[in-house]
Amino acid sequence: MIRIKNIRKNFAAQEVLKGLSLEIPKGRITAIVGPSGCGKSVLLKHIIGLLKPDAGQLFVSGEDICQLNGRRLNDIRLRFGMLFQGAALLDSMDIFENVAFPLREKTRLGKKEIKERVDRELKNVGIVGMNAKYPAELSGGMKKRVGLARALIMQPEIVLFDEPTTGLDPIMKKAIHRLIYDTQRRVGFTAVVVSHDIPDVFEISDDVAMMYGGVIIEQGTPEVFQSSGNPVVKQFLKGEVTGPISVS
Amino acid sequence: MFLVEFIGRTTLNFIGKLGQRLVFFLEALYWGLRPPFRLFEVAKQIHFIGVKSLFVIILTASFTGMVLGMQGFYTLKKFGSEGLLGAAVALSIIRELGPVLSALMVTGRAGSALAAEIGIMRITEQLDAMDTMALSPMKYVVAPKILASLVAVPLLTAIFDIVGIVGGYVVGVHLLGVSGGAYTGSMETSVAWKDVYSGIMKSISFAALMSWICCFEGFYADTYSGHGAEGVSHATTTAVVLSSVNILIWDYFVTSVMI
Repeated sequence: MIRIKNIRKNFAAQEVLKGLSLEIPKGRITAIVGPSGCGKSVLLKHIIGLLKPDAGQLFVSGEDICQLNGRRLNDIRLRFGMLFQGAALLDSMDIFENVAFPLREKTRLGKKEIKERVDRELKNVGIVGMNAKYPAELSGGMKKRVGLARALIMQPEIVLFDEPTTGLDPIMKKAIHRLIYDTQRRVGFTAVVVSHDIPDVFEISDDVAMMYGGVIIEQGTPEVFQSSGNPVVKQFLKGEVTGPISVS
Repeated sequence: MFLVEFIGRTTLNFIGKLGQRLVFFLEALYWGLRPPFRLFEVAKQIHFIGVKSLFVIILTASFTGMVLGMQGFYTLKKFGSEGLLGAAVALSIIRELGPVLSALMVTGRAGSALAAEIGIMRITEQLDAMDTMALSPMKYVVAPKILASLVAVPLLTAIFDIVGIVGGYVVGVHLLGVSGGAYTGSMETSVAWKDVYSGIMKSISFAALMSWICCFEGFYADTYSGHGAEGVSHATTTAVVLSSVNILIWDYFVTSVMI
């Protein structure tokens, strides 16, 4: 579904992606893990075309999105949904308007159909009777749920999750993970979950890839990943301060 | 060698940034003039930029007109021409002070808010979220603000002109004893349509300049050193300073052409 081939990205003098390659299979949940600041979110932004690599290719269903601009890129983006780390809900709109926004602007659905779909999507993520509230009035967990509803409202083939559980309490973390898992199994989209929420993220993942030093250093099922002999993976899984991953 | 390299790099950097700004403005105009028009959003912005700036515009205009009336009276008195006070106040305000002061006031009140609002949307990834939904932030966020400025600032300038002239009248006629008929009569004979036209054209160009610079700085708030709140603060300050300075510089060139 998504094939990333040898992509490189520099920000000023810092090289964040150093020839990273990765294959993300269709209809499965792939978790991308790695230490903070290793470039996971940068990778996600490349997948949806928010950033362009300095070199390399990124294929979505066989099409290299690095070569696309304007309308063709937007056509590809319509196949995506994305849940941002801070949910990125539009401050000036209430919850209903936030979720309805892409439907209003990108489809010809009538008011009644839009209302039905938005209400259904919000109900699926456990948000009921709060349509008129604004993002500033919501807790972190609620924002993520509304963000998820917005990401799914266009029934995308691929959904990207950028650290969906960061800043949440352990119960809400489990609830969001469960929500991602259940929704993916129900709808069948391809999910890419960027997280450093170890080991919880393994419970919902079909595949795990670890990013370190600007490349993918390990990829496999959660079981294979957890039994890896790679010292970097071992240190990351155990959360040890000393080892090949420098804390400074 | 180092100096040549430095000059070359700086020049290329400057031209690159200028080009980026120009593309930004043209893109905003393209989205703003392309149907379907987001009239509700434009009206909302006209309310924010125009209606909410009314108080500060009326306050500034009335005192500017009053000061002009007083200064003008004592200057003209030296030449025995107090009767020309109306013409002096009206021409100064319509041709110069109205457009410039209105634009500077709107920059301080609304331009800074435009830059801050867009900057916050940038750092909280709201603009990225719109991009991922294939919805152009230029269309939904930037274009309505620029279009609204193009409507609101000339209207505010017109209000400034009227209030300023009335302020001059109050001081000149009621406090300093100039004849009311002389004040309005001299104004009527000396103010031509060309003066009003040049004032309105100036204010439209100032509106474009102010909204363009403020929206641009907010849109790229994440490129400033010290991302986050510091980046937005930097972007807002830069937006206000650059807009104000550019309005004054642009005013000189427009005046040279239109005089």
